[in-house]
Amino acid sequence: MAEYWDRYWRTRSNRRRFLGGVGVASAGAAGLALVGCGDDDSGGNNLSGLATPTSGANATPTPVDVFANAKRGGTFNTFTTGDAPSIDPYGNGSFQTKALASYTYSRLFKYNAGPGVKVADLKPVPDLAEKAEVSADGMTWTITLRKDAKFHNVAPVNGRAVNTDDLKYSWSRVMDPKSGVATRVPFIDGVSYPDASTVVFKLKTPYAAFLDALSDTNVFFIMPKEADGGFDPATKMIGSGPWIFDSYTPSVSYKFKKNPDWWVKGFPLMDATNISIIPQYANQIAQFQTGNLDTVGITADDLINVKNQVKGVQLYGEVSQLISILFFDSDPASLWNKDPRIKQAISMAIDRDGLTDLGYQTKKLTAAGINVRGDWNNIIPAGLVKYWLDPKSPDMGDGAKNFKFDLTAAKALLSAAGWNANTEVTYQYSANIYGATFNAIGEAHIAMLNALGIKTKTETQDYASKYKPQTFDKGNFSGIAYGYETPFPEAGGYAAMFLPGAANNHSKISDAELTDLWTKQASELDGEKRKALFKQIQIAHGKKMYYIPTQAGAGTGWTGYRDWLQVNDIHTVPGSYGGATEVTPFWWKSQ
Amino acid sequence: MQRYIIRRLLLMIPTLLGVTFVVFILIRSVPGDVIDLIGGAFGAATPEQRAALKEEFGLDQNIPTQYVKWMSHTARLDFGKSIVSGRAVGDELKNRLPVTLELSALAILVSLCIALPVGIISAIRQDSAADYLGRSFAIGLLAIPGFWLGTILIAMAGRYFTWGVPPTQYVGFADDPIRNIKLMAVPAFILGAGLSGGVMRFTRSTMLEVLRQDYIRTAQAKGLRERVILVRHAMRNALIPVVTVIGLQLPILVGGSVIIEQVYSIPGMGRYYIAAVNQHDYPVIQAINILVACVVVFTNLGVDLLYSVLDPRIRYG
Amino acid sequence: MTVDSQTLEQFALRERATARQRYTRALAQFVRHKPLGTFGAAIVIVLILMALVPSAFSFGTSPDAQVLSNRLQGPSGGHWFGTDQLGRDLYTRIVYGARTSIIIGFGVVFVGSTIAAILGISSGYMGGWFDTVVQRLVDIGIAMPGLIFIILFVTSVKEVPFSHTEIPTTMAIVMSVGLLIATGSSRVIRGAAIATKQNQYVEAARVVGATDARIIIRHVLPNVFAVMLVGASIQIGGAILIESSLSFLGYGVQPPTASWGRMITEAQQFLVNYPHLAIFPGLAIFFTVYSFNMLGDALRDVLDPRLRGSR
Repeated sequence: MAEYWDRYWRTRSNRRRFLGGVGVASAGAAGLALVGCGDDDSGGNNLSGLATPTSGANATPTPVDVFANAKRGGTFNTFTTGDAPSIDPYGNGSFQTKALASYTYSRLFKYNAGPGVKVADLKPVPDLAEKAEVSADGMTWTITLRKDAKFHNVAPVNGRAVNTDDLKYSWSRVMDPKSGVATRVPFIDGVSYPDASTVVFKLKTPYAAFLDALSDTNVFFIMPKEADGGFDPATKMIGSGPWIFDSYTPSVSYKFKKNPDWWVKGFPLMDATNISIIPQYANQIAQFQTGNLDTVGITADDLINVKNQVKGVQLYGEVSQLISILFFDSDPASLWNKDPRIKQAISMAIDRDGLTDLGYQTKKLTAAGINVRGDWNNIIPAGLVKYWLDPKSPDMGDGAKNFKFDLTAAKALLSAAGWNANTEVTYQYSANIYGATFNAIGEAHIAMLNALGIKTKTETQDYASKYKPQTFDKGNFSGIAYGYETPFPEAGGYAAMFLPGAANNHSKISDAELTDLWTKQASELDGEKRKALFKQIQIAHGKKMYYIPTQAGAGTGWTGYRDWLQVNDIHTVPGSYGGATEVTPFWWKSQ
Repeated sequence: MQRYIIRRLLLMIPTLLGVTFVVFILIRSVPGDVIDLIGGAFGAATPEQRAALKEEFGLDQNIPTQYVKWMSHTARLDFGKSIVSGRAVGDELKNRLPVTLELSALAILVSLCIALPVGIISAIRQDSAADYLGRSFAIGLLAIPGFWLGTILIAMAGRYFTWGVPPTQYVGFADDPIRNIKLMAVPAFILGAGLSGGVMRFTRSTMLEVLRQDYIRTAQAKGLRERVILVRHAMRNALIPVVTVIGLQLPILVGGSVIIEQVYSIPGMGRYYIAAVNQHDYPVIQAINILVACVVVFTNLGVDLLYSVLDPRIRYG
Repeated sequence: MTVDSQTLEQFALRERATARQRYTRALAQFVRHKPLGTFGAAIVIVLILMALVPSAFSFGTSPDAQVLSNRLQGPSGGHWFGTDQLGRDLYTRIVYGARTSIIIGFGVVFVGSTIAAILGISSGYMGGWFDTVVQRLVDIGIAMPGLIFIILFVTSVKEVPFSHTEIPTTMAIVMSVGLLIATGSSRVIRGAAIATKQNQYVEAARVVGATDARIIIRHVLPNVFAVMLVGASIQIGGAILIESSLSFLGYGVQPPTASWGRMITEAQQFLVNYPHLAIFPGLAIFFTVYSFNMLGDALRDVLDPRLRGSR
């Protein structure tokens, strides 16, 4: 695993230019809203601390008086669908644990969500850190802690300053095999602590997205060293973040109070956060409609009705950075591994617009005047706007016809390839993990395959015991499989699907042209050139269709806010579960 | 009588051992691996990491050793810690068991209020319209899937009658009785309605049996009014077996409340159990299992004893 | 008056005819006196037919035929119950869903009754240490928390141990629910077996030299049969409800097989705007369980002499 990451991240960076990546979600999470992040290759390395949500030189200048009329006080009522498996930030890899952790625990860096900050402008900015410096060869990062960083005024830490002893303890949790975090930072060679407020990271190779790794909620939360014996982090949360842990009633609620000593002076604006644990969607919507919840996730089918029923509701749509694929077994005797026309034919038989409408109600919502994206995933997901090449665009070249829905041409292609109509193929996926939209699209594929003339036998697999360890991780299956690809911080991870030896090369593809392109992009520092390389990758892959991108994950996911919640265009940073630090302290309630 | 109780208590032990051992083996025969689930998003931990994790949770020893260890801890009421959350299982159960018990108690109350009158009237007026209507009604309640009714009620309430939406968060009865009942009322009704069918049927049949008895005929011959016969003679005798059925509903409830708890966001044992099964959280599964088994076994004993107290003809030697 | 062979023959013929007439008369009486039970029986017969030849009821439409452009339509002439989220005809899926429910219902009861009969009769008839041991095992089964055991069983038992043959979910459901029901019913059967054993005609049979097997088949079985039949008809309803509950929690029959329980689960997010998706499967479960119960009740009334009305 280590040498794979070595090759992948083999980049050289100089002091001033580095590519911006994006925080990564935990794999296998159910339908998250993630959006691709832009790269930042102007000299936007303003790493000095932020006191207010205005971001660095690059971002649209925002008027500070967005908060002039802000009312303080009130409780933010939100929800979650279940208990986080652990409230110890390193106790579990689930996104629920990480999202919860960002209420009380800080990271060294965070994302600069703020009023008017566009998704393309998001980048890491200091949180607990004051500044970061990188050596000329890009292998050593020196980070200084802020002077006014304090833990919560709660026993046993009692509001003392954060120092490198705490970093040392927290890093030991990162490296602990139980947390599963160490595999995310294989490029880090070692950490040293020259003094109480300085930490030095030595890397194995220069790594452009290093600050993104520090901003990643899946990686490095800073816990006080008292967590080792002074209090039990599995039952209590004590950190330095904007919210102080008040109580956790299992299966009922999490309650937090605002931290008056947070170094972003004047924030959070609201006094408390009250998270209700509500497993059922019907109940969530009902609570939102009665005003007991300030925010809720809304399915595309319900959107119009909620819009009409709830007075003044604010709707926010986001395309996730998830790509769903049909992938094939790697048996050399399988017909699709002998003749590429079979995969091309299957791709042509997929009605992508139909699937998008199925999962995301594009037709109905557009007719109602709601702005919804209905784009097609390429091998880079549609949500990763910076690198995604629209399969419908003329640039796509020959591969474009493989994306268009043309059943007649598909059937002709299939018989030209000599497909035996009596062959029965196993079609497998996991129906008990990703949710209703994924499952619906999964079932829709069956009809499309059958219409093409391929007989299928459906096998739904249990995620934990069969699909993840065997089919997805090892490629140990026969037939056609359907699933989400692991979301990656960067486009390179998706392209690694056809890199020989890569962990996510499920079908064990080995193609000289694509491998060569991948190697080039991994070491290309120039942003525009790298983008062009990804374009080439998508064009080349489109012709061969090793993996067939399908539409789950390509549509818009919706969040609703009640009219009294002033969100001021400050929205959750996609892919980062750090909303509690980056976003909610800056919201307020007008009543 | 005392000997009987002692004998029953002693017999309980092999039963509990058997139940827990079966579950113990069952959950360890699942193809999936707990270690994979814990190891975070990437899951593919190195062999040394997996070995370390296995050792920490005692999963590296053979099954009989694990079982004996677990049994010795449990006998001391130490239910261990959850593999997934790291929290003490005993504490969680302490908070959740009363919630499930309260829901069950309310459900039993509801089922009695429906089943007893319907069963008695059906028996008295056997094969009449009242009989058919009453029986249809009770069986009808039984046949409605509880989760279906619950979900529809909440969804419709949210849309059409917001006063009907249950409170967002659960509060204990001691903390806020009114809010607590507001939350528990509908789920208890749904659960109780489902139970009432069986109780009604049983009430009806015992009542029918009693009404055929000679002493009822004697009472009629004596010229007593029907109401007096019913209350003083029939019901008292008919209701005794019904007591046993009520007691036996409790274990069904503790398992069956799983779904209703999910729909209504009630922090009971059912939800805790489902989450534990999905995550292969062995200590939690085993703890809930033995707890429920104890409830079942003790309830059975209690019901049998109650039966012997109420019916002097029954004596245990 | 001598009884010659011709008279005897005529007498025998009349008896056989009367037997046939007796059955028809019994049936007629059942219909007349137990209208609810008859109604239940009628629905049960329809359901069984639906399970056997679903295509006859769906007029050839396939339950898997998706028409994505026709999603979420309400009931209409072309689609009696409307269409679901994938454009499949809801009525057809309900018809095919009957197959799942009936298979599980009957499967559970078959497995359960067989095991219960074996356990109960052998235990009750043999008595002694065999009885004690078996009853301890039955105790374990009764003490086992129901839904908990079923969920564990269905999620754990995916393969036959030591081979690599997979066990389909349906079979796992049938086995686990059947086992649970078996333990409870076996007690009742055991009671009936003990009661029969103590009867004088059994003793007489033994004196005459009948083997145990013969006694069990000729005397014990018929007595417990009535109890089993009534219990079975009611348990089918319970098994169907359990299957739909399992589907609701995600453990039941997997897609794309039509199952009423899972149709309700999938309908949850559409509940407010497209209630027909949940209403029809819910009604299907309701009518099925109701019918089986009514039938069982009527059978019990008829077969159990203690409960017969004043007629």
